[in-house]
Amino acid sequence: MFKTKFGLTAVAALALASGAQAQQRPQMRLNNSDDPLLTLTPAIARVSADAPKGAPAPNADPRDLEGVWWISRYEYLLGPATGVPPPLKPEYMRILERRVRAKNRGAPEADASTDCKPHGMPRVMESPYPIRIIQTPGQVTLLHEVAHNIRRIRLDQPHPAKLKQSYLGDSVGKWEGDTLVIDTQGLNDKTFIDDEGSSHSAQLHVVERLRKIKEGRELELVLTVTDPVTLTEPYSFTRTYKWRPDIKPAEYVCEENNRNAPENGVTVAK
Amino acid sequence: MKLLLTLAAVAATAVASAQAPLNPSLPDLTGVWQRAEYRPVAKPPLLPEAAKLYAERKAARAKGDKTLDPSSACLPEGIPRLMLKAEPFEVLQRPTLVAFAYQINRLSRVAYLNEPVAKEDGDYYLGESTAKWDGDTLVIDTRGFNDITWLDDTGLPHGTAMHVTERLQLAKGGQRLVNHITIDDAEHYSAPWDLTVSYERSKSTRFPEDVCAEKIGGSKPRPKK
Repeated sequence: MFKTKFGLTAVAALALASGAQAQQRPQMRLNNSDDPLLTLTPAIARVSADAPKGAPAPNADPRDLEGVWWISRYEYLLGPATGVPPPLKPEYMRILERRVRAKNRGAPEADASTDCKPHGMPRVMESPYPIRIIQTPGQVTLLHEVAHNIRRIRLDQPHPAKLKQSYLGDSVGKWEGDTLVIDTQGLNDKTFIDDEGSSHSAQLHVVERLRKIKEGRELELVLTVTDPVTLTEPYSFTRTYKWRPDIKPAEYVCEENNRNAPENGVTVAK
Repeated sequence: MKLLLTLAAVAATAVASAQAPLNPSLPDLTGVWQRAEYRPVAKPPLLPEAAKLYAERKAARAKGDKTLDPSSACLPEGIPRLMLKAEPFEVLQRPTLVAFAYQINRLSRVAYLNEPVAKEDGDYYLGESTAKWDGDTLVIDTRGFNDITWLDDTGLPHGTAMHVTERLQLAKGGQRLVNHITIDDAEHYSAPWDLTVSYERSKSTRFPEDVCAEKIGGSKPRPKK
């Protein structure tokens, strides 16, 4: 039995795990560079396994997404494929290179989540912590363990005419067959697309297509990311989340355990 | 994540899981609620040591010193304090759980229905909550607290053995929600005591994104107790 009471405990454990992986596998570098300072952090190949034997079967209703879901694997770079960065324009690719180098020098640049602010999109969906989905009339709610993020997806409604920028944006959804299509806009530019530090602007637009697969034992999420400021073109990637009725997401208090709080914009490990 | 190794318990709770309709004979508390009436208890039965701690906190507050307040460092307000704040919260009622999603710093908690009450040794800001229906009243049992949080905005203290019971009932044709809260903490109070807060159904179901770390310009060192 294990308990992740404080986020960083588990993150440290995962970091150790991924460090062990790094010794076993050839290291990937950003854009296949020869520069060791552009080494990418290896993915955590397995975050959640299938639910244990004997756990309750998922509900057969394809439009019933309720329950606890936990991502199958975790990647630090959220591009169109593993180890491939988002299609950043050259000036933003240089910023990503700068951030990867800073990370490999042991002084990563701080982003919003370092400072206990929400992770932004699409990054909040790439978390090694579970998510509880709750469906009530007209709304799908995601309660994330990570940094107590909450996403509310209002069904069959337009975005407000005047969208105030926020970390997690404004999300509206509609069913297309058995796929929930979620449109998120109104995001601020204070977050990174991914953990390595790919940039987005406030014109970021994320469309998610969420559906149950494997008789409901997995959720499949196809994310399409559009940003006319930082990206040369839209791109998509797919994630899966395991049905985990045996898990209760725990209290996660970034604000207590934030020992890596940035000082003058640079993360200081303490 | 808490792995429940007793699969029997999992099976028992998951039979009615997911999108089973709500029991029509039960009230539906789902919606956005905002505090309507709340009168702090004038004289909770504080024991001497607790009274001394409370006096220190009040004296600091009177001088404008907020540093003793855990919420000044963006730590979770805890229970029952979160239920006493002016900011709205959303209730999401489902057959096997009732979730609370607060505007304040995007905190949430889940009260699990028909499960054994939590252990005392949780050491959580919001404790661990279980719930059951007593007629038309939702009774939430919360325990397993740390002793960092304040019980209310004024700084009333509590310990890790605190046990909070909330009795939630709809009133005024479903437009009001009344919460009778009982505090049982023998380490700090000579007897259990009650407070009552009521909420009105909010017309707005939109929540501005509240990011405490943004308001204080980043994280701050953890305050002393």
